[in-house]
Amino acid sequence: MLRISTVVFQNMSIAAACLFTVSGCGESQVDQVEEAAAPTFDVALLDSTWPVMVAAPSVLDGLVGDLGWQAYYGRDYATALEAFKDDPALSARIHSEIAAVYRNALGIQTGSIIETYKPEETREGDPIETGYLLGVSYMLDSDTEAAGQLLGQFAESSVEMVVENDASWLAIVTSGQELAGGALPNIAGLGPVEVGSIPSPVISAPHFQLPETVGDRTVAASDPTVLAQLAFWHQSAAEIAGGNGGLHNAVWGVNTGDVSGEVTLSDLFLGPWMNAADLSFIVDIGSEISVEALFAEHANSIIAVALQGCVTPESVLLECAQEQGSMVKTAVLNRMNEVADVESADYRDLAQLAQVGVIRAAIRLSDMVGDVRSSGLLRIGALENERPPTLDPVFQLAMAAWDVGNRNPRRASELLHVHEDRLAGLDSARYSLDALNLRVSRDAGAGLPMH
Amino acid sequence: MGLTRNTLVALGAFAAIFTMGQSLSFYEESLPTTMNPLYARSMVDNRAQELVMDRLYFHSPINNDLTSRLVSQWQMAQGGTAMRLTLNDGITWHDGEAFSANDVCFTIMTMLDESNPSPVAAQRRGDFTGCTVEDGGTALISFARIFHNPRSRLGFYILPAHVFNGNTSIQPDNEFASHPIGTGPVRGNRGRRGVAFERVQNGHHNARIQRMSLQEGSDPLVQVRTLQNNGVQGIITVPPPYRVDVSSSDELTLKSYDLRSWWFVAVNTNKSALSDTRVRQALNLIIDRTELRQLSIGVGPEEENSPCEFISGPFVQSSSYYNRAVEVVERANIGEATRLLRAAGLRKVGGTWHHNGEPVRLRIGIKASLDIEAPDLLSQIGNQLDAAGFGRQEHKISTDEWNRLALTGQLDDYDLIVGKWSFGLVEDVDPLFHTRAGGRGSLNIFNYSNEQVDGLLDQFLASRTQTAAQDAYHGLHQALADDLPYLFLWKLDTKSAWRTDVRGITVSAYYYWTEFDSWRYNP
Repeated sequence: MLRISTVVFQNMSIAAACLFTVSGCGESQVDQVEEAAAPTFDVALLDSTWPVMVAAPSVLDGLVGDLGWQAYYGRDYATALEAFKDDPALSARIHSEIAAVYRNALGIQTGSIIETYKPEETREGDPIETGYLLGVSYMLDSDTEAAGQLLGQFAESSVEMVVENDASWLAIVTSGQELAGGALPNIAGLGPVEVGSIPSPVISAPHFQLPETVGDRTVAASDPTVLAQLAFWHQSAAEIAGGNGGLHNAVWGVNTGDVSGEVTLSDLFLGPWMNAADLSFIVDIGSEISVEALFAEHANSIIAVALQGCVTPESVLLECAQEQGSMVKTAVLNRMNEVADVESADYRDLAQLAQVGVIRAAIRLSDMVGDVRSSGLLRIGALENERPPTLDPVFQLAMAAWDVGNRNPRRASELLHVHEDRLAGLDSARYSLDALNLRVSRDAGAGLPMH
Repeated sequence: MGLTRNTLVALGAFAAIFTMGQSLSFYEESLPTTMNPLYARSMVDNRAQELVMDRLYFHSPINNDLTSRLVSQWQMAQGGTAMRLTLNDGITWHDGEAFSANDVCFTIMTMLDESNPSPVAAQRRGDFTGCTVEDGGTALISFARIFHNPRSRLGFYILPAHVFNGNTSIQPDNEFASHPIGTGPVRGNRGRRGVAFERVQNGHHNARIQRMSLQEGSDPLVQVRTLQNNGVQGIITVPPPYRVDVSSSDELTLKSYDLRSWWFVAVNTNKSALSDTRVRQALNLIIDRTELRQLSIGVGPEEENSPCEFISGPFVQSSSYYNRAVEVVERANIGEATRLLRAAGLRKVGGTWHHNGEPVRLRIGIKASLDIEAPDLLSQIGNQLDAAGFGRQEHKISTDEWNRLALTGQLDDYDLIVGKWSFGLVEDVDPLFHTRAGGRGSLNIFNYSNEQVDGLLDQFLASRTQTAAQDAYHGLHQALADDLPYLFLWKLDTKSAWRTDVRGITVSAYYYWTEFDSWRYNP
């Protein structure tokens, strides 16, 4: 059973500065009142959302003045982890989010490698060792059969590191063991998992120079194993930290452990999920459950309540989901104003996260029911609503990975470029994405610059 | 100036009263110069054509599927050197004539007709050898060689054979440029003050907006105020300083428009002082890009996630072709610039640089529509050069002059020209920097010519592998950063603004209106 603990939330440290000066949100925005249709959410449900729970100035001022939350707001993970190092719940949440960032970057990389070098896309001159990259990508993409046909064939490669890594991967494939951090070849050279730290790979990208089979050029390439190791490392850190590491990993789509812990404000503040039931709802989307049962079992999730009328077993009604996102935002904002008995420019930004949560849940629901068009349009709409400085690297890199799967490297390149310096090792994905970008653009033929 | 601007704002509000609730109107950067896709020169031209015409194949802006509204089936033929296309039934041209395989083949034969002075056709001419109409609904396209993913070569607009009586020689001044007949979701007519679009129901299009008008945008403040007053419902390009105004209104929404655009100052390397590389390098160090960006775009020096990112060569930083080893020049270095100018033989007399005993006075131009997108950029560049000891004259270049003279290399009385280039999926810079000869260098503004640069462009063209292509462009980036026919400025994100009662908006990369059928307007 998940429930919010207000005790933990009230014990959070209090400082003075205003976080939201960072956002550029000014006085003029205070007066902007939403004009969506009157929202009809139950007051108790609204009061269970974290924006309403923190709305009182005496509470919110403390939170937004906290250096850790300020860092998290700008997705400065290193500073946030340092500030939260004595708080297991927050450490778990941050490590889990970092793992998600790495996992999505890995999705960009493996997707790019597959789309570039899969058998029907091979080109004259492709290095032989791209078969190794493809094998690792299939393996990390859970296609062990395809991986098994490729790995273990590069013992004669002129690239020493490929020979070593290929042998290590072959051993894993042969053993049939489940993929986990400790089971991967330690290419990144990461040390033991240590809560509160962010390790850097000992090797920098590009990891290889692979000789082309025509001419004497080499292709700069990176091994996806490195990003996989980084993702696994932080998943483990989230688990070890305590708190709700397992739950947070599950929210990001990875089952690593117990998801039944008590949810506190630490698990929700500044995130898109509004209450404990939302977290549970999100974890269950895509599991072996019918649409009807999914909504029936999460009546306390404000996001589920909002989206209930927008989902059929085959589709997500796009405009309904968008409208509900706007309605939840308005309802939360209005309730914040009522509870606090004041209006604040910060409330608008916080309530905006409710809308983000509804739309992200709708994307997951679209994927669950196989509504490709709504999934795409909701993703594009969600990306439109991202505003600096609160660009969410997890979502943006997930968007880039989705684009790559659609052979659309153009927007993916831009999204990765924005985030690739955020964490050590993310640049590894760029070399694979560059290869896809080159392949797709060269296939397209002519193009004239326009003024 | 202030009074004029206020008056214009008031006029925008006045216009709102009389246009509200009638048809959907929007501001473009300028008026399109042609609606004939063979002669598109600007993004405005491209966008207008996307509304009126259909491309044979296009990428879905939602999931990137390579798809077609005109073709129902395709299959490779003749060992991979040809493709047989079966067309959809029930599609008509805007004048009621039936769309057929004859139109597909006519378009390809028009592109192959070398009497057409069309840069667009010239770019695609190497892809095809011919086209055969097998029956009214089937065309067989012959490729010049076997291509990977050959459908991606078919992203061109289809022309109506009957309008030209089958004559594949189509000149730029043909009536079609103003009153095109297409199969797109709307019919378009270009007048002197705008373009009027009207919905056409068709077998493959079902636009929900009945009428639309394109107007030329002027002062960005006027544009935004008119949008707020519902005098227009959209603005294609909102300059960064005005985006806060738009995003803070619940009646307006910003939409990203994915263009690979970068800005530059072209340098006339044929002018006496500017022909010396050291002088161009000095100008590159005199330009303080950080200050320019702050003054004209409104981006502070330390601002993160800026919509405006400096570049050091002819690609955006996220491009695979961008050479990251070439550093951007963010700040001015007047000391080093002075050393270079002296080494080049220039002398400073009374605070002004002299060359061969004459004061250097630079004639600087900017394409007029860019002065709206980056207000005062021309003046700020002029101020920086003036402060460094160069006289300057500033001029705005109309779109017509740009097309007739700048793109054809005939603005040789200018020393510097500020411009912007936008790219689709393909980042081909050969037309910009190759020596103007044999159809290459067709957009080479100051007829720049450099043997090393030509060689690298040739290498790119001849590259068999993508690594060879990337290496060639990385080398080109370095060579251009050294020789400086352009002073490279920045990439600038493009954002549109629409009123929220315009619904179902999906803005496609580069082409913008690809999903126009889903747009709705319910005032």
